[in-house]
Amino acid sequence: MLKISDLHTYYGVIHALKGIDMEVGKGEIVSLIGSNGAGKTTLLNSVMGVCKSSNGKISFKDKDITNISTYKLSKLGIGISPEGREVFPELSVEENLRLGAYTVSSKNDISTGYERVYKLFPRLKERYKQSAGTLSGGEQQMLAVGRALMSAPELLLLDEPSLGLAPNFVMMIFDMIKEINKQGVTILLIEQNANMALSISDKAYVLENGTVSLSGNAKDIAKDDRIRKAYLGIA
Amino acid sequence: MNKDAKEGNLMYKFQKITYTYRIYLLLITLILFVILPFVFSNQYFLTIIIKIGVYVCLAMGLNILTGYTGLVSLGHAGFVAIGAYASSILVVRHGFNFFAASLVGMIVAGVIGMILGLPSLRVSGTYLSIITLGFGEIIKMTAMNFTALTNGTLGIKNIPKPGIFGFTLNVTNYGLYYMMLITVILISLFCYLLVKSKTGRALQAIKTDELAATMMGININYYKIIAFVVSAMICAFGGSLYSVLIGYIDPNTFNFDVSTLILSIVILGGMGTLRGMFVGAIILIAFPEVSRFLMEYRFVLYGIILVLMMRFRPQGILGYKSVLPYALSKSVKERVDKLEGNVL
Repeated sequence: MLKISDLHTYYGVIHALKGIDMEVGKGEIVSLIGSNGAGKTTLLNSVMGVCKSSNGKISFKDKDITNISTYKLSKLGIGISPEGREVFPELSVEENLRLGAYTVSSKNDISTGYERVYKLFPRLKERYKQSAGTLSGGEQQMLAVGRALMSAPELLLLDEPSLGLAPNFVMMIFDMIKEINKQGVTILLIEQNANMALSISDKAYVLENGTVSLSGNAKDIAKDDRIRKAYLGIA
Repeated sequence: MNKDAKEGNLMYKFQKITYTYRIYLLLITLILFVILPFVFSNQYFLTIIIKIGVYVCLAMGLNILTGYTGLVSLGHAGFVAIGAYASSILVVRHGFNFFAASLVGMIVAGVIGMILGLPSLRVSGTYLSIITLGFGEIIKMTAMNFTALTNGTLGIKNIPKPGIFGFTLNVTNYGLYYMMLITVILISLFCYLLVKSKTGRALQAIKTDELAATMMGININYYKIIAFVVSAMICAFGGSLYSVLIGYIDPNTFNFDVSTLILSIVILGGMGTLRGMFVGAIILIAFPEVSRFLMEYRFVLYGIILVLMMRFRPQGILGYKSVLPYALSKSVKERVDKLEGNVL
């Protein structure tokens, strides 16, 4: 569904991505793990067209989306929950979700979107009138994911959904990711919490200094000695 | 109940009442304004009221850009000047009808607004304000030195009052007053519909968070340009209106003070609200007139008002956020409400 081949991205003279090859198949959960500064967010930004890549190709459903204007992604069927959540703090939960459906014109589809999000996250339904800035971190994360779902995407890009959350919320968010995936949404998950990410993923890519150092079945990667040492903290 | 909650509750009640009876309130205000010239037919008084109306229009224009999209412009006097000059030159030298001439002025300002909007895609915040500041000065300098077109510092004199079907609209026969009233109503209505529309939602999303807005599928560059163009056009029409009210324009009519005055109205009234523009314009335009007895000290008082406002009410006098729930469209609301039983 999403295919990245030989992608190079520079920040000025810094070579941040040095030839990334990656493939996300339909219906999969693929996680991208790596330490700080490995290039995870740069890769996501390159896919979204926020960072312009100088070389390589990104395609979504066989359509070239290299260096696309970011706003076009929503219409193509790619939903994004950005790092740091980026909800609209002054708007209520309901308004935030309504904005998520900005590119959706059919009222029926908007209602379906609300139904889906409120079923997944009953907590949001409870707080639909509250302004998003007053929600807790975990609730804001639910909102960011829910908002991305409002446009009924086929591919969901999640950047660090567990960042700064209490452990029980982390569990909850990962359960939700599995649930969303069961509904037929392909997921590309970017995580520092490698343990959790690998436990729910089908496939995983390990990023190191701008290159893919390891890739394959998530279960195999979780068993790999180097990974256990470097990311999982198990000797 | 703590103090904040109490205030919130009061605010809710106030908004609920004003919202429920909004049609009556609007009608009463409208009737008052329609009969106003028959009650106070003093020319000086009416001129000030018309001037307030003109500034309401200008503030509405800037509010689209600054209040709703979050792009602070310090050079809107430039657009006012473009509108005023374009329409008066066409009326005085080429015998255009006022309305046709101001339409041309609006189009010219719209095109220039688009050109000015282009750099705004690359810079933001303070840097954008500096660019617009420069723009305002460029327009003023052009008006001063392009003598062949603008008559330089001498300005354009004897701008005739507008006429409609052979009937001249001036202050004495209340024609100008009603023209102002209709213009203010139309512009307010336009802004209201714009803000409620999909475009308006996009502008507000851009103001809050550009990155998140793009991810929702909003083309930021396109909507920023739209905001610039609409804002420039409204201000240009305000400028044409101003030129026929005063009957004389020169480059110094549109100096930096005008830009800051418009911005002050927007900020004092409450950025990102329509109601605030009326209150802001009434206070800031009427104040120098009613306080004439204070001589030059009135500007000290004027400054104090602005400083006090910044300290105690930074969101503007009427800059409160609506606490009433956001209205989803009916069919959506019905289905979402039904959901409640299953979920909770």
